[in-house]
Amino acid sequence: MSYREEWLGNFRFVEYEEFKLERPSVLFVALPDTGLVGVISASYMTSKLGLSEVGGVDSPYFPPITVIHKGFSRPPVRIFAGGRLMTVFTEVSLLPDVQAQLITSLLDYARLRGVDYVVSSTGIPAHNRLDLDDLRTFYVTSVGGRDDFVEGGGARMLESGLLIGPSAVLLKEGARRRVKVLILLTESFLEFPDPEAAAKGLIVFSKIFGLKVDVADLIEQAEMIKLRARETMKQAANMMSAMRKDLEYGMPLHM
Amino acid sequence: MSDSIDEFFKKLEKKLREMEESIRKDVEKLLSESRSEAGTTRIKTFGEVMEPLYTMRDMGDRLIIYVDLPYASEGTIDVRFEDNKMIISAELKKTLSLNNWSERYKGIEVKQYKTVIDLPFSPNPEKTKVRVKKGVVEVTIFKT
Repeated sequence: MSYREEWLGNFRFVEYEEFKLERPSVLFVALPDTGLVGVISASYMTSKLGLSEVGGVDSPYFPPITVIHKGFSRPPVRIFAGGRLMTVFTEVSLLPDVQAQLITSLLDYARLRGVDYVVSSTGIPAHNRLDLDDLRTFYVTSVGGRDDFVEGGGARMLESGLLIGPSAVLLKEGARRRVKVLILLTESFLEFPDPEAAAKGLIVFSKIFGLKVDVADLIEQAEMIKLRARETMKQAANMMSAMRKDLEYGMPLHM
Repeated sequence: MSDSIDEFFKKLEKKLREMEESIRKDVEKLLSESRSEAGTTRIKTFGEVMEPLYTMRDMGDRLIIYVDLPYASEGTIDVRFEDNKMIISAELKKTLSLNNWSERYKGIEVKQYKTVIDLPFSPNPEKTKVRVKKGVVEVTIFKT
């Protein structure tokens, strides 16, 4: 067992295990956001693909929290890796400015680690989510414009709209730092956990990157996941309300 | 003459007591609101009853309330109104033993969802619509 730590900005990146990602490598980032789509996706995919916990991120700007896993203390933001995939996620709702700083440091970490793609699969609130059965997944990249590689996975380009929260920072900072960032946005509930949207996003994600993620169990366990995620969703909803996440429902004036 | 003066003071005393009681209630209400606004944390504990997630949207002519009730038995969902409160409850499909989630919840079993939602007005039950889909209850309350 090795131990390595490095400060990037205000965040301490810790690695407990040596690991090397195969190419082309993907970093899947998920913070509590719309319908907890990203966190549910990351957590499910990590278990399903049997990724190993290789590190974590801590910061004096986080609430004083430690995650206990199998008797070991872990930082609130956890890093898992295996094959060519790395997942970084947390269930803890962080303050908007801390989220923005963390995303920026995560992009620096991705560059240092030589990651090829940084991906976030999150939700985009749909007015009529209750009546939607065939959920659509939209995409937007840090390069911008149409991307045949992504469209091959079944996502369609988000022509216009507003993004608020971690994915907005990923996109803007990714463009500034010349990191290839892909944001997948699946129609979902805003304030309710949405495992169905997570499953749809994962189907698109796995098609794009050629990873086999069977979502059958996620759909089957959807009700239990929703039930267990109530408190996490409540915390996230409070944070989203502070960020005026409801503006994502809106339409920009200038098209 | 003295009788009528006594009567006057009795009435005055009664009125003052009523005013005092009313002011006390108002102050208590204000204090309780300000305490909750100041971020008093309600410690979440699991018992037989769970509070569901809900959200409210003001659509101008109507209010739409969505209540998320995963794993609830659809036939047991009950929506009632009392003055400006909406009371919603539902039984779970099966009693849930939380010990399966974590050893820390040993012996805790959840059977029901229940919550009381404060509404900005007293609804007319005849002008409300309820539908259930995907484990989410949608209650539409028309304002007029």
